[in-house]
Amino acid sequence: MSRRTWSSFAVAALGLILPVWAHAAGTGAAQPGAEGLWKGCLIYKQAELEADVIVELARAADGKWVGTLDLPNQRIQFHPLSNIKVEGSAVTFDFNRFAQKAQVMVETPYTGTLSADGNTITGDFFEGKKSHRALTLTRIGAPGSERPEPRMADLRPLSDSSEELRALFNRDAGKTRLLILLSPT
Amino acid sequence: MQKYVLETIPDDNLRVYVVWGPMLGEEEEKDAKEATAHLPDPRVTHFWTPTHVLAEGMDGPLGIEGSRAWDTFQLFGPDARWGETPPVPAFMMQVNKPLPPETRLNGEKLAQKVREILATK
Repeated sequence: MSRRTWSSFAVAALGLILPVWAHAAGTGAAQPGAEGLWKGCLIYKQAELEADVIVELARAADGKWVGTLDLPNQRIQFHPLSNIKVEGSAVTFDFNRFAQKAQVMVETPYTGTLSADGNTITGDFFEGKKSHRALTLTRIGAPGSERPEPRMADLRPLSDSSEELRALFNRDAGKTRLLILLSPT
Repeated sequence: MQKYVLETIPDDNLRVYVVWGPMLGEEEEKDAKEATAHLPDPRVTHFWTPTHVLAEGMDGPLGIEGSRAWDTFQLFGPDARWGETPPVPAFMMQVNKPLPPETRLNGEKLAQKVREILATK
């Protein structure tokens, strides 16, 4: 199980989703549907501004669709989706969130088409109902399956003299070196 | 960075140093710790500084006097040495700096430059 904090939806859904999915898998005949863990990338400007997206879609025991969306770059995790509909190959949902800074609700409908092999959903992410953004989701797992685990690395303190960095930089002489100064948020 | 540079260039002659700091003012060390997950490559070394000293000290060599060097991507060849002051990079890209638009960060262009410098060794 992931060590990440699960939302109340995810915790509740685990108990409901897994048996449904396991039953479908057990029949051996079911074509993969929209249920699953999906990954995509919103490209605002190729190689300059891009944002990964994780979507989880599942059916609860009562048959209703449930789902969440993650935007890791914006630290949005397990944000509940609304109005999820799957009709044939048509997949639609709404990603609505309150923008704290602007103090407004930003509504983003997604309309997609599930591929015949069930491995991709190709669609349109209508961000804030203002700008259309292509978003292709690729299946990376079953609903309720473990998500890619973020692995944190060691973080070294850097003094004002930057001596720690200077020493490492010079120790790595002979290699190509890339120095990046960034905000973590 | 991860997608365009580290995932496409497996060369062990590449090293990356990321200095996380309070560019916006309120960032904390715990934010930096979490952010390391975005660059999990073993060739990357992560540092945290709570001050602007390094960013301010690099504005001159980068030609951005008065503008801290946060959001810069500085590439150095194999011969570069850090003496009294940081060396001038062989190539740099940036975000929101008063520099020509062709220096604006682009992952594909940065990766191409990394390959070029790696090939000179």
